[in-house]
Parts: sequence; C-alpha cells; structure tokens
Amino acid sequence: MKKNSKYLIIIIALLFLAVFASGCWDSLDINEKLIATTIAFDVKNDEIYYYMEYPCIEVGDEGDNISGSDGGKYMTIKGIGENIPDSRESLNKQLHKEPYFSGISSLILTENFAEEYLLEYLYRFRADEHYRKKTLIVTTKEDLDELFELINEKNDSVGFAIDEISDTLDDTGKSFSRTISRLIENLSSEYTGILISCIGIQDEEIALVGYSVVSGTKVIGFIPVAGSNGLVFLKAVEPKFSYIVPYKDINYTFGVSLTRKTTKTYYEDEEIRFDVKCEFKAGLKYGDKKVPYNFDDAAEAAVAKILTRTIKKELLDTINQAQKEFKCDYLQLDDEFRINFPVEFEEIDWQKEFPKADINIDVTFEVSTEWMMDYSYFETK
Amino acid sequence: MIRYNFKKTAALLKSKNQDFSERSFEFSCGTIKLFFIAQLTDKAALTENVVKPLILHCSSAQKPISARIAIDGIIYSDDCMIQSDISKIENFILSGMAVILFSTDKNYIVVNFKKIKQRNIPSPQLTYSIRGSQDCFVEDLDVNLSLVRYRLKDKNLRIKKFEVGVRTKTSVAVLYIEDIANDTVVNELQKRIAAIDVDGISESGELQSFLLNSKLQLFPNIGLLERSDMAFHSLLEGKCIVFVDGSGLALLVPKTFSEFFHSCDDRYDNKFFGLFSRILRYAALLIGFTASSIFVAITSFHTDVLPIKYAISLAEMRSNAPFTALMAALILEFISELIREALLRVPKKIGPAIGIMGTIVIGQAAISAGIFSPLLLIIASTALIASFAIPDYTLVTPFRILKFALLLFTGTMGFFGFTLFLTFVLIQLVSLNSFGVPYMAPWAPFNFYDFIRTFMSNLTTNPVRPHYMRTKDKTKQKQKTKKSKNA
Repeated sequence: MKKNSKYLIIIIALLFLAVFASGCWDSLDINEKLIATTIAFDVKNDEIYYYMEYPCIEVGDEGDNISGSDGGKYMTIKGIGENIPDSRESLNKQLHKEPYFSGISSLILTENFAEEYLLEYLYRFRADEHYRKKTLIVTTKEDLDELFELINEKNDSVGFAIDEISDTLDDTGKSFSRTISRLIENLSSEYTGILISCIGIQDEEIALVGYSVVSGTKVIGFIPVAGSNGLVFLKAVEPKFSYIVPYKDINYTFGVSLTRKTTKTYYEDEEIRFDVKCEFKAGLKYGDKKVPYNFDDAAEAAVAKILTRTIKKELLDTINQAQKEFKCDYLQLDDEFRINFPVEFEEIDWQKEFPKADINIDVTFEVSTEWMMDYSYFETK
Repeated sequence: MIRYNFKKTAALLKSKNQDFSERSFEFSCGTIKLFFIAQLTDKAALTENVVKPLILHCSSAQKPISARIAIDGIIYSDDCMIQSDISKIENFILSGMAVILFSTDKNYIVVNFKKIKQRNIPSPQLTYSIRGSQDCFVEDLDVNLSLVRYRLKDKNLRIKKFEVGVRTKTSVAVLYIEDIANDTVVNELQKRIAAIDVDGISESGELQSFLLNSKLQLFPNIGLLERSDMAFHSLLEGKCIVFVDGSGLALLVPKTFSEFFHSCDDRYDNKFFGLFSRILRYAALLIGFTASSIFVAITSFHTDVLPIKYAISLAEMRSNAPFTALMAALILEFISELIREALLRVPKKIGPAIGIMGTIVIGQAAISAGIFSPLLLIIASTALIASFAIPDYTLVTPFRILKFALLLFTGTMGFFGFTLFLTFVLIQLVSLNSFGVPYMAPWAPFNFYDFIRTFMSNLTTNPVRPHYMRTKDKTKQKQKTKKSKNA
C-alpha cells in the first residue's frame, strides 16, 4: 500500500510539473481576438500611418472606421505616430480586443514607407513570432485611405483580394510574388536585389500594376506590368503568355510557355559570363480569319523564327534594364554565381560586377499545332 | 457422516421450507416421500414418470423398495441419480430437482424434471447482424449449451461446471476446445472462478468483475457474447466462453483491444468491405474520443492551424457564445451522455419524445439563443453517433469517461495536454493483458501477419489462428497441395 501511495504521489507530482511547465496559460477563444487580415504602412508629413484591417464578426462592431460604413463586413483602423512603435501604440488604443496577427494574408507598404523604413520593419517583423513569415508583401503607389475605403465598402477585404489576385496570377503563369520570409532571408546577406509586386486601383478594383525594384533595403525603381513579359519569363515558375504572330495575312494566336531554363556560369580573367538557355513551347490556338489552316513544316519554322526574335528581344531588354537602368540584380544571377564560384563571390562586389557581366540569351522554340484542325484535307476534296 | 432418520429428515425439510411440495406414499413395501418445488418442476412429467410408476409398482410389491430398485426399473427418467449425502438434499430441491426419500433406504434419488418459465430464443439486441444467424443466448444454461453443441460437434469440446455463490449456488460453465485453447488461459480462468467467494451472482457482469486483473481496471479485457455463431467462432479461435445460469450474455476470454472492433458480419461479407468497416470503426473511436478536444484546442490555443477564412467563420459562429470553448464542450458532452442514458431507461412509448425534445431543445433552441455554436453541436453529435459504430459497446464505456478527462487536459494545456493524456492512455492500454495475452496485440507487440490478418483477411478463411493466442493447434486449414502432374 505504501509503495502504491508513493507511485501515486510521484505521478501526481509529475503531472503538476507538466501542467506548470507547459506554458499554455494564455488561452483565449478565437472570438475574443481581433483577427487582422491586412496590415499597411504609409508615411505622410514625417508621420507613420499604421493601418489594420479586420473582419466584423459581431453585430454592432464599430470602431473609428476609415470606411465610415456601419455594419460592413471589414473595417480598417489606423494609428499615427512618429515612429513604428508609436504608431502601433496609437493603434492599440483603438482596439477593443487583443489583436491576432497570425492570420495576416498581405502586408502593404507604400513606396514612401518602403524607401525609408523597410529595413527597420523587416527586423521588427522577424522578431515578432505572431506574424506568419509566409505573408505576402506588396507595395503600392495609391493612397491607403482610399484603397481601404474603396474595397471595404464592397464588403471585401483588401488583404484577401491581394492574396487571391496574386495566387491566380502565379498559378496562371502571369506573374510572380514574394513573401516576407524571402526578404528576411536577404537581411543576413550582403547583397539584396529583389522585386516586390506593386498593386494599384484599376476601374475601382485592385490590380497588379507593376513591380517595385528593391536594391539593398531601399526601393529604387518601378517596372510597369506592360512590357514585363521578359521579366516574368525569367522569374516566374511556369510562365505562360499569349502572342499574336502574323503569317501569310493571318494573325495566329499562340500560347507560349517556358518549358526549361538552364544557366551556365563562367568566370574567366575576372570576367563574368552567363549563358542562359530558354526552351519554349508555342501551341497554336487559333487564327483570326475564316480560312482553312494548313500549318506545314515551313510555316512552323517561320513562326518559330518570329517568336524567337520577339521573345529574345524581350529577354534582352529585361536584362539590359536590370544591368544598365537599375544596376540591380533582381534576376537572382548572384545566386547562380555564388553556387558555382563561392570563393570568388566573397571577394568581389557584386553590386559593381553585375552591370558589367556578359549575359547571353539563347532561345529555342517548339511549335505545336496538335490542337488545331488541319483543313488541308478539305482543300484537296 | 450424518445418521439417517427418515421421519426426522422429512419433517425438518418441510418445517424449514414451507414452499417445498411434499407427496407421501404409504405402501407395504415402505414409505416414500417426494419433495420438490412446484414452481420449478414439470409436475405433469413428474406425475407421469415418477408418481404413477411408483404407485403401480409399490401397490403390488412385497419386497422393501430401495433407491436402486426404483431407479433401475420403476422411474422413467434419463436424468436421475442416487445420492446418499443427507446434507445435500435441501440443495438439490432448491436447485429445482425432485428428491425421492425412502424409509427403507438411506439412499435417495434425485430426479431432474426442472421446468422454468422462460422466454424463447430471441433475436440479438446488442450485436445485430445482417447476414448472420439470429439466435441468441437465453437465461437457461442448458439451452445455451445446447446452442453451442448444435454448432460445434467436436469431441474435444470441454464443458467444466462450477457452482458460484454461497447462497445462490449459480451454475457457471466454462467451455473451450481442449486441443486448441492455451492451457495457461484455461487454468487461470478456472482458478479465478474457483476462488470466488461471494454470497451470490445472478449475471455474467457480476462474474466478470471478479475475473478482472485489478479492481481499478477501466478497460475491458473480457468480451461479451450474445450470439451463438460468434461463440462457435470464438471457440475455434482458441478462446474460452463462460456461461452463467440466469444470464443471457456469455463472457469471452481472452479478448484483445483490436478484437472489440470485429463484427460477425466481417466473416460473412467480402473481405474488402470488412477492411473498410474496421478502418471506419477505428476512425469512429478516434472521432468519438478526440473530436471535442481537438475543437477546444484549436479554438482556445492553436488558432494558427486554421486557414484565416475558417478562423473568421469560426469566430463569427462563436461571437455571441457566453461560454468558453472548454465549458461549452463539457456542457454539451454532458448533455449527450444524459440523453444517451435517458434513452436506455425510458419506456419505449416515450422514447421518441425524448429524441424530439433533445433535438428541439438542444439543437434548435440552444443555437437560436446563441448558447452553443453550430460547429460544436455538429462535432458533439458526430462524436455521439461515432460511438455507436463500435460493435462491442463495453469498449466505448471507458472512452466515454476518459473523454471528459481529455477535455480538461486539452482545455488547460492545449495540444500539449491532449498529447500528454493520450500518451497516458496508450501506456495504460499497452501495459494491460487479458489472461496472459497482450491487450494491444497485434499492435504491440507488433506481429505483421496478425496485423494483416486483423484488417485484410476474412477471419473464417484465414488458415492460421492468431499468433498472440498461443494456441496448441495453430492451423485451421491444411496447406494447399501442389497440383498433380497428371491433372
């Protein structure tokens, strides 16, 4: 009996220890938290504006709402301060529940904010374990008050809208996006060159308008969406675009996708050279005239030649822009060089060497007409 | 040895037990007294086969009559014996036998003309089967034994009888097949039954409590048998069956954790459906045990695991809830148990009303009032339904109790507490044994063949018995011979 009592006491003591050591004393039901869907930052008149968007889950859930609408599904509040901590304190004074930041889908930074405070905010973000590091980061040139008001009045969330647009564009091969974790990874490296998607308002809806160029920890430029096909081909996972190719009085529409990209790096006589080989596949979709289509080998070769010329020019323009205009390696060729020549990479200043690097593009095309009907049979009949 | 005095013995019997019926015969060859309990005896058969032949013989007989003469040539009965121990006369009469005392012989005859009013062999109530036979055990031990004998004509089938209970002297029968069953299990079982010293038992459940490994044991390691076909299959697997006279449920020994998930239909249906059913039952137990706790853990501690849109929906559902997730889950589970218990006790005519009231009060009204969130109600209902999917309800009972403890652990410590408690339960399960057979076999100790056999194969056509049973005869079928070259 004494032995059993001893075992019982030991088990109870271990249980208490487990209970007190677990640290799970901060339980709070989900409905008692203010779930933030979007966070945004702006700088105006040397003051930092800290925006937080959250869903209204209770009837009569009102705050100092920017949108000004009562009973809307999403509301936005903002805090203003001289620095980031002050603006957050100002925001906290308006919250009626404890904020929950682990559900943030998008972080929006205006270009003004990104130019000055990007580094500081990345450190802050990294230090706070409540944020999901896979949060999408975007920049914008729009006024945040107008942006949130426009979208919240439609009972939609800015964060979710950006998230959905980004996912759709990524899945369809029309764009590429970046998460904060990618930026945070670069904090520890000497060289950082990255592109961040830039969103704006088009026809009262959120749309991708371009890409902000970040060199180091500053935003140094902007690339609009129009004419960024070459950039997407080099950066996206499975890029796909449609091209119209005129051939023999018919404008043929082709779906062009990049099937394979290989990069070879050379370093000879302190000169850096990259040979980038891109293999494309072009699938014929349709023509714009009501005539029988007869795509023989000669036609395929001609179309391939036209497409090769077009795509190659786009790719070369993209590289030229990166090297000459922005002098920023946002194509991540520094990774390729570092993998192949790690010692040499440590010895050189990539910021200076990249604009001088010789980058050659080789493009090959495979034209496919398998989904097109060949009307030549009807011609002979 | 007690000295036999006929008159005194007869007078004592009658004076002590006024419900004993007495029939006296005075003949020249001696006095005969017949004692029996009218409510337990087939009086017509007694009259026809004992009274009438005795009268016919003795009315003309000259020689003194003795028990031997009566049993050999007068009484018509296939179940009778000569006894001489006076102290046992009363016990025989109390057990429903008729006792014939002779003034000219110290020996007496015990005749079995028992006839107890009982119900017919019913259909199964606990273990319903679609294809299996529909005959079940009843309260009469002889009928139950006959049901087993009818199916199993093996000469090695042994039936060992015990008498349990000082006052009730309840007959208990242990059945096993001698050349299959493990001797260790059989001996241990018989030893435990023989060691029972109690006033009386009336039901197999009472006997079961004496056969447990420990008084504080929570998980059942003895199965219940209601159907005769399952009894027959179990005996062929090397198990022992215990019948208790007066109980319609037999005990099955040993029984492992995985065997509680076996249903008789698994033997009669396609093996793939059997596999699907067993996986479903394991999932049902898991859902019934852990669903509410996982909900509490996610809602109160680990909201991060949810996609944000689900988190928002969940927050909206709980926006007006007055209780915390833990409190709401505890209350709802308590109400579920109340309803389950009420439905067991309620008369059949009122049963549907309870169901309607439960649906309306708890389902509709509670949600309209915002007391519970719809999701929690769905989870609690699903858990309740899932608990009915386990074929043997005795396994569900401990989990119904442990579910509340798991809720408290999880509500206090989140998934850490959830994992901690599950670890405790697993440790307890793995450390149990059922009469020497590991309780968690074939999971632990792991045996690949038994594991596959438990899930994939049809238990009837499987050629080998489970290894963890350590039976004497390990094979059920002969090995398939190679095809003849001439064929």
